[in-house]
Amino acid sequence: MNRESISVGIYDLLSKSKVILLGLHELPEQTPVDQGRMQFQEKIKSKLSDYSESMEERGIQVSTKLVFTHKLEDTIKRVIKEENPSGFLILNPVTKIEKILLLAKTPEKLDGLHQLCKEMGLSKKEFGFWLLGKKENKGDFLEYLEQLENQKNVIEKRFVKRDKLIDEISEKSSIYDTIFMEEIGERFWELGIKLPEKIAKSSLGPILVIN
Amino acid sequence: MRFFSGSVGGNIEGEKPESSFKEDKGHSTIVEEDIELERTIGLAGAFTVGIGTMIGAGIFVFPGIAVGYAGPAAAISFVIGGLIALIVALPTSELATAMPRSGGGYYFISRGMGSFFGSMVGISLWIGLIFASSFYLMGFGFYGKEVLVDLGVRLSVDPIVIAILFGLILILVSIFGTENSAKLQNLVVLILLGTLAVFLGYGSLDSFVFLGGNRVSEDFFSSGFFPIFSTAALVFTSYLGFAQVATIAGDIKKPGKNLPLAMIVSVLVVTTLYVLTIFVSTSVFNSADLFLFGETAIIEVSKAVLGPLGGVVILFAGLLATFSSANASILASSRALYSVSRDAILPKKLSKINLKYGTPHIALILATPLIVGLILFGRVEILAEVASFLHLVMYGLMCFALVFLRRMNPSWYNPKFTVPLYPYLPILGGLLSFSLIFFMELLTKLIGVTILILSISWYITYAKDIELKGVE
Repeated sequence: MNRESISVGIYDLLSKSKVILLGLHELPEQTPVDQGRMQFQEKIKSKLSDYSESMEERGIQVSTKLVFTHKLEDTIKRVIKEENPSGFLILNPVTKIEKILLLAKTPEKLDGLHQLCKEMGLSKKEFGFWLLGKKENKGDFLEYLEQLENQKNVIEKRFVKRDKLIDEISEKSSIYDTIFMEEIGERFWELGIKLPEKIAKSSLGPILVIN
Repeated sequence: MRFFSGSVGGNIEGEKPESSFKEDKGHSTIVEEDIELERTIGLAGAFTVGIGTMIGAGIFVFPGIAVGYAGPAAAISFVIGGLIALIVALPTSELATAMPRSGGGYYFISRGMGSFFGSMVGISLWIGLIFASSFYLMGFGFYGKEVLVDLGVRLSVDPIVIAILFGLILILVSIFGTENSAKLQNLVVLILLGTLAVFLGYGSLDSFVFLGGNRVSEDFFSSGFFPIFSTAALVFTSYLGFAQVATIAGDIKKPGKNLPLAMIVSVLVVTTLYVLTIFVSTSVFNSADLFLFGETAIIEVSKAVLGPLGGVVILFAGLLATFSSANASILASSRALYSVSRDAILPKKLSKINLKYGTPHIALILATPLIVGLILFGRVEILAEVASFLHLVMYGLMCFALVFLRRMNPSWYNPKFTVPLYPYLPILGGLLSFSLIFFMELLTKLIGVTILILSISWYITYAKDIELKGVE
């Protein structure tokens, strides 16, 4: 969470979800993780407890976990494997969720993300649909988009080449309040971790990476 | 759940020991309720900690000095050192798999024999690592000087100046934190092992005159028998690294399997390399010449075996190796201080981490004047021997701590690896460790005993109410 507070839009986004609040403290390889735990555990536990209480007050079911590690990405991967969550949320500040970008590499997965939004009580929001992939998939995507033509709350449909994704997100996604994206392999995973850093300047909202 | 099985007391500042964490089933983390400590170092990482710490001295600093004292039989001195290290590595493996926590020897001794012996070993080990760091930095200084000479720099720079400057840089880098330091260490070890495999492989074949090389003929026992043992005591510094693997036990994945494997294999690998180095060195030069070449004798050996290019390669390998060992020892010294202060035997503020960089800056700053002072002292052999003395005391007591723990049999003592030939092997390891001390120089013994007495005095005045025997 990088020490920032939870913005109002996050409560809105997670209002119907079960949340595991994962506190992570990364230390340089030379410092024993237990040494970091000794010094920082009380402070971080208290911060996590504040987050968790504020979520519970808004009716969100929360459990917490705090990990001290040398390798942030390895730890996130392990926790995701152990807890098997529907997705993980990379936090960025957001005040209100109105526009959601859905990002996946097949029309079926895009549809799945759309369904998930409905289950999370977000069906009345506006959506952008970005399909990620190679030229061969483009035909399927156009077919899928025809089905969306009649829906009023679709604000954008875009086919994005995989190697251009970061640039496209940086340049064209700032109109969205949040991104729901599919987790598809190592490259995409790395993208999930590094994205907030890369596009922080474009004031993008939280990113929910679906497992 | 946090737990202690015993009374723990506190120090004169009222600080109490930190509690320990439980192991999870998968051994990927140490857990307590909703807090987890991720284990992130695999077998390769643990192995390179052992090799990376040890490889600097035995090959790149000691051959000239060792052969000067013991003649070609210095190879036996290294075998003796390796055997003792191996006999100690087996009990260490059992203890480390039963207590896979940061702290290594200090942790085992304080839990097996109580806080008196624990404090003595913990504090003196920190000082021992300061001696070792200074020794490796001196080694780096000698290689640095050779590099300057090779580059044609005409300035006469004292190796001591290079050692101090580089030591200060290394400490500064450690304070500001280094990204990917483990990957860098792995790469350094890989380069060194590759270089040495080529050099020693070719040199060994050459020594058998298969490749037309000339073999120096010298009586194997030209210096007699006693120097073999005194040299074994001197070069034992070359074997201090295997126990560093146990000090990072808290960060190692699957410690039950990876700890014993990393320790035992790293001892076997470096012993083989050390013996081959002496064999090749004494094949191309006689003892007197090697002694004259001093700390950088191996450069002359490589020039004789592989030509001028070989000399340059080994020169840079020497720089890398002494850098690797110095870096590993400096980092180990701050970990040693942390292990003792987490039990409140030293003030806890000594192991505070820098908020910005996440590094143990106080421990590193504290080590700086000591390292500089010891380098200025300038006696390479004494630095090496005192480091060995203090480590051998720890090794000996570690072996006896295993016997104590087995007899005490606390409920939490469930090692994944058990030492063969119990109780004979750990007792033998303990006795051999102590007996090697007797072959050291008088000045070494005086300094070593003084450090032990000072450590005990600290315990009596500051932390005598702390009880750690049998406490997990």
